[in-house]
Order: sequence, then C-alpha cells, then structure tokens
Amino acid sequence: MNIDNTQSQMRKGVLEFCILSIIRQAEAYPSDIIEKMKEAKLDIFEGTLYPLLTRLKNANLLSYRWVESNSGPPRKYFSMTEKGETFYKQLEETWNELADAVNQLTQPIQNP
Amino acid sequence: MKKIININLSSRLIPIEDSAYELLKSYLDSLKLHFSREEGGEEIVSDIEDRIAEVFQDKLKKGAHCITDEDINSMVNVMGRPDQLEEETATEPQEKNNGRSTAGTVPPSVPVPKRLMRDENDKILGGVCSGIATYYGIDPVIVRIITFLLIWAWGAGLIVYIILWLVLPSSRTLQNPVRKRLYRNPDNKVVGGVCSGIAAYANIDPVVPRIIFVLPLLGIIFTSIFHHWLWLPQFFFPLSVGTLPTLIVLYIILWISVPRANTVTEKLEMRGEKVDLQSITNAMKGPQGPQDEKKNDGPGAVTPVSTDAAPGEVPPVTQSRTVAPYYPPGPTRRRTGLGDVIILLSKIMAYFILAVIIIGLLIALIGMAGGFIGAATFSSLALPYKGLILNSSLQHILAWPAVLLTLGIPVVAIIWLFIKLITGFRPKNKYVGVSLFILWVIGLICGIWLCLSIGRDFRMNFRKSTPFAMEQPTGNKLILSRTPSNISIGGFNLLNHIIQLGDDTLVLKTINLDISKSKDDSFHVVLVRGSNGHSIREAKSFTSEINLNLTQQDSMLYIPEGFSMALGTPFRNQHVLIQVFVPEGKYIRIDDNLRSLRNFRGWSGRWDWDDDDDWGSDHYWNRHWDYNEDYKMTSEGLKSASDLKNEHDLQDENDSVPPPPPAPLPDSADKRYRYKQTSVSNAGKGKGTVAVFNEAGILSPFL
Repeated sequence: MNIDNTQSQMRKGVLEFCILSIIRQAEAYPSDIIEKMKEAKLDIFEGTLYPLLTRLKNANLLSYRWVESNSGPPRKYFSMTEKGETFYKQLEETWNELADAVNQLTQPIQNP
Repeated sequence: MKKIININLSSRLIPIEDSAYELLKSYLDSLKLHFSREEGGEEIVSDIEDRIAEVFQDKLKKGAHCITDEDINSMVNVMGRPDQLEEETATEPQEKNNGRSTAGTVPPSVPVPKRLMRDENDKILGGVCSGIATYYGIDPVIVRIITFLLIWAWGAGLIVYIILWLVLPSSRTLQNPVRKRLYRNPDNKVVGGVCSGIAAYANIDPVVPRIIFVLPLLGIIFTSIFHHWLWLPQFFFPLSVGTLPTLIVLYIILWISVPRANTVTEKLEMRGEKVDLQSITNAMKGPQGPQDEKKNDGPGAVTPVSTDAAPGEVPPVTQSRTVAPYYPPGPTRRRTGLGDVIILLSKIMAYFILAVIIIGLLIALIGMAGGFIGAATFSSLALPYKGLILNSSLQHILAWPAVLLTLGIPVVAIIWLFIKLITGFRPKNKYVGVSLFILWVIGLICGIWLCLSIGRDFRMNFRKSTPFAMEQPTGNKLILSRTPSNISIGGFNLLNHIIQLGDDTLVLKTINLDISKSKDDSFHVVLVRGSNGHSIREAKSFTSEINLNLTQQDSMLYIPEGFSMALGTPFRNQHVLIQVFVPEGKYIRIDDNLRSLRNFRGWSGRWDWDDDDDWGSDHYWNRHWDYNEDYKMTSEGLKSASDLKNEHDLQDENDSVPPPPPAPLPDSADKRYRYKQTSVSNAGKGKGTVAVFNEAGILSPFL
C-alpha cells in the first residue's frame, strides 16, 4: 500500500469540487486557480489541473473565453455554466455529508 | 560553456540552455503522448505549455538570464510527470466510459429551464439589465439604454429596476449568448466614439451614423443660410430643429451607457468577430505592425530559434519561427506620458467643439427668434448703412470685430467640424479651437459694448414744436396733399422705406400725421420735430437739422415725402409729427397721393385691426380713412361726408314707426357706420399729441 497513492487518491476526489468552487467565486484562469490552491495548501501537481479543466469544459460544466493579457498571450478564463452550477450543488451536498461523516468517524467521542 | 537558444514557447520568448531545451522537449513530448489518448489532449498540452511559459517568464523577469536544467527539473516536479499525473487522474478516463456519469446527473438532453436572474458577472449596478438581456438573448447595452430612457421618463425605470433588483435572484453562471456587443470605439472617434461603435456593430462605414447625427444640424444651417435662394420644403426647418435635441440627447445617453471597447477582446466583440486565440492574435498584431509573417510554421510548440551565445548572456533574436507571434513582456506601453496628455487634450477639444456647436446653435436660434432684430442690426452694420447707426469712432472700431467675430466664428467652427466629421481629419494643432473660442468671446464683448454704446445714443430724446404760419383757407376745407416732386433719390431703402439712402443724401420719411380738433374756429398746423441722442444737447442738435418745408396754396397744404439730412448723420430716430387742428364744422381731405407715403400708414385703410391694436381703438380713422373723401370735424370727432349722409338717412327712417329693416347699405359703409358708433367719439376727443404714427414697431419706444 503506497501512502502517496492513497493521499493522491483522497485529493483527487475533492479536486474537481475545489476547482469548481474557485471558478464559481469568480472567473479564473488556470494560474489563478493554482495560486488559490497553493494558498489553501492544497498540494497537487499542476499538471493535474489542466486535464481536469478540459474534461469539465468538455462536459459543459465550465465554459471559457479568451481574454488578452498585458503580459503575454491571451488567457483562457473559465466560468461556470448553469449545468456546472447544478453539478457543484450536488458535489457540495455530497462533500458536506462526507465531511460530517468523516469528522464523526475520526473524532474521538467526547460527549458520551 | 553552454549554448543558449531562444525558443518561442506559447508566444513567449524564452532564452534557454541547449540541454534544458532538450529536457523540456522530451517532457512536453511525453505529456503529448500521455494525453493523446484523451479527448482534448492537444488542448491540455498547450494549456500546460502556457503555464510553463508563464512560470519561466516570471523567472526571467526576476533576473534569471536563461532557463537552466534545474529550472526544468523543478518545473517538472511541480507540474508532475506523466506517470504521476496518471496516478491522480487515472480513474478519469475509465469514468469516461460509464458515463460521463459524473456529468450524467444533469442530463445534457434536458435544457436547464431558463430563469430570469441577475447576472453577477456582467453588472453595472445590480446586474438586472444584463440578466434580462441574457434571458432574451440580446445585447445588455440595448436593455441598459431602454432602462436609461425609462428612468428619464419620470423615474418609472428606476422603480422597475429597484423592484427587479430586490426580486430577482442573482447568478454567477449566466452566459449571454450574444457575442456581438455594442461598444464605443476609441480607435476611430470624433466625440465619444459612439457613431464609430454603431458603425462597427452594424458593419457599415462610420460616416453613415455620423451624417445621420449631424443631419439636422446641417439642415438648420443650410435652411437658415440658403432659405432665400433654395427651395426647401416647409417642414424641413422645423423637422431639423425638432430632431436635433433628440439626437443630441440620444448621443449623450449612448455615450454614457455604452461601454468603451478597451481591450482587444471587446474590440472583437464590437465587430462581432469570434473571440479566440487566433483572432485576438491577429487583432493585436494588426496595430503593432508586421512582426512575424512566418506564423503557423507548424504545430510544434517549441522551436529553436537562434544559437551560440556566451552563457549568462541573452542572445539577440535573429529570427523567430513561431506558432504565434511574440509578445513583448510587461504591460503594453502604448499610452504613457505624452500619449496620455495628447489623449486628454483631444478629449478637451472634442468637448469644446461640442460646446461651440451648442453655443452656436443657441445663438442661431435666438437670432432666428428675434429675426428682425438680427436682420436690422446686420443690415445696418453692413457697409452702406454703417454711418446711420454708428456715430462715434469707438462704435466704428467696435462694429467690425463684433460683426465678423460673433457671426463669423460659429460659421467657421461649424464648417470646420463638418469637414472633420466627414473626412475624419484630425487637426494636430490643439489651439485652433481655443483661439477660435477666444476670438468669438472678444467679438461678443465688442458686440455687447457696441450695443450698449448705441443704446446710450438713444437714451435721451428731445421734441420741439413749431407752429406753421398758415393762412386760413378761403373755403371751409383743408386739403392735404403730397408736395409734387420729380426728384427720385433711389439708392437703398431701409426699414420699410422709412430711410432712403442715396448717393449723397439721406432721406428720412419718419413723418407722422395727427388730425385733431381745433380749440378755436380756425385751422392750425404744428410741426413737432423730435430726435433721440446720448444727451439732450445732441438730440437738440439733431432736431435742428431736420428740415421739413410745408407749403400752402390756399386750401391746399403740401406735405413733402420726407426730410433730408446730410449723409453721415447717424439715425437717431429723427422724426416729425404734423399736427393738424381742424375746427368744428369744417372739413378736411387727404389726397390719395398721400396714401402712397408709407409713413402715413397709420391713416391707411389697408391695415387690419390686429396690426396695431394698442392705439387702434383711439385712432379709428387710421384704419378706415377714405382718401379723397371729405371729413367733417364734429363734436364727436371726424366723420366722413358719406357717413354723415347715411346717418342722416337712418335718422330719418328711425323717425318713422315701425322701424323697418336697415336700409340696404353697401357693406363697407355699413361696417364703418357701426364702428363709428363705438369709437368715433373717442377719436374726436383724442389728444393729438399722443399720436405716434411710427412705421417700425421697434422704434416706438424711442419716440
């Protein structure tokens, strides 16, 4: 049993949820998302992000537009679609349930 | 020693060590291979390249000379090798099979029900307009303009807006399907870029909307200048005047509510072009001139560019073979320092021109409203009449700048603007407008000064009565007639022929006639000479220059057509009132030839009741005087001989009972009769001196 593998498996499950919640707050381009994740200490390979974004986009959960930047070529700015919003709501629900469950299971019983 | 090459990675120029380049290339190749199995694999790789390039560029900006092997390695550690990525994303491709199942929770076949929401992503105030636009699939700007107009309509739009703001839920995910947007075009603008933006939106030449916006203005100008020479439909002028403010208001609304296309993306949206990498690239390339003609060299993203340079030294770019053109790092340096100042200045210019138009227009409108004042002023300042109005040398000095500048500058400005609008020519000299304006203000000041100065010259007035030593006519009738004259002066006529200006003479026909009742039983004629002036003394001297000669031959009293003055004497309302006092029971007749003297018009039967209502009631005979007819002075005033006869007849008939229907009188006679009943008595009592038979209404206050 590889610890790295298990860790990354755990992260992977919430990664999409995290990406969607970042984009949901404001239109973002990949480097923004990476910055925010770094700030939140969510350590991933950056390379992971791009396939995920493309898949989410291909599933019509995200859409993007080109915005030119001052410092280089135009950037892809991602934003939520209506469908993505619904998807996100469902993920959020699942996450809350999961987090509650995990918390309940992992915390030592303090109040008998 | 290491070789450094320049590569173009995702449109960024990256100096990189040769060995590092090999590492990078193999890494990217492995990624390509890894993602080639996946849908959108190329896109993923190019996104990753983008990120890598960005990271490298940051590094270079922070002072690195070039990208080294270590940089590549650390980048790969951050980014993840394909096998590491495999771990984290492994299940995804499998999941792809059972579904899209993740996405399957929202079946794509069922469209999300359309809801009216506020758009949080594209909002000015609450995102209401944007939300409505998205709901109906139209440009938010259109909704905003309508809202703006509704807000103007007694605030109705505001209430609706606030209600919608409160009621509608907000959404961050709204996507307006419309990609073509109305923007103001800052690249090709005259005032606010509105017309240019409309043109881009409608895909037409900017001149078309510009002309439409300027059309009523041109209409006003041309109709007011050329209405004497050009046949134009009657409605043309009011139409122009009516549409102008509407269009100005519309323009201002558009100016406020339509956003300016600042970024390339917005400019593409303005033209309705597809916003993607290629079009942005092309659009950005355009204004920056030809940079890289050899683009689309191949799909390969990393291409070696130049070789051989000492380590630590950024080699010069000798050639670029690129997928996409190279962008200089750092913010665009198009507008800095001087550029900003120029933009600011040109803006000031634009606003100034707008102001000049509005001011010019106001003046034009005021001028038209008081049309006759303007015409009188202008014509009297025009060359031949100048001396009539202007007296002192100060006035002469002021007159020219006043006329030329106040009238000329707006004309010049309008023509200038017109040329600018049509050709899109932008004068480099920013001081043209300012100096025009200053000149115009100078002209205006001169004009006001001149008017005040002339006004002062009319301030005082003086009148002098001289009885005319006349012999009593042998009969009981006095006949007024015009002095026979075979001298034709010709020349210019002013103010309805009151002033006649010959080559060497100035003839004023401001002769007024008043007939009233004599206190004794003889005829009297009194000449009242009057004039205005800046002082009593001046008015007096002008009065003394009036030389009017009446001549009498028994019962004939000859009145000349006018009195002459020396050329160069200013017109200060010199006038003569001839008062004729007729004793009761005696007759007076005015010859038909005095009818042609327009200054006697007060007496003329040609004038309608409405024209001179003020003193009409007291001077009944002014309107219904019959020339060549004897009038008898009675205790109730002047009565024409024929009326007296009719009255007499009527009285005869009234005596016999019962009163028969009125005798079939001639229509005019009948009317006269009835008028006489109401007002002749007044005329009889009339105080002669009150009579002011002046020709031009505007001069009345001076009399």
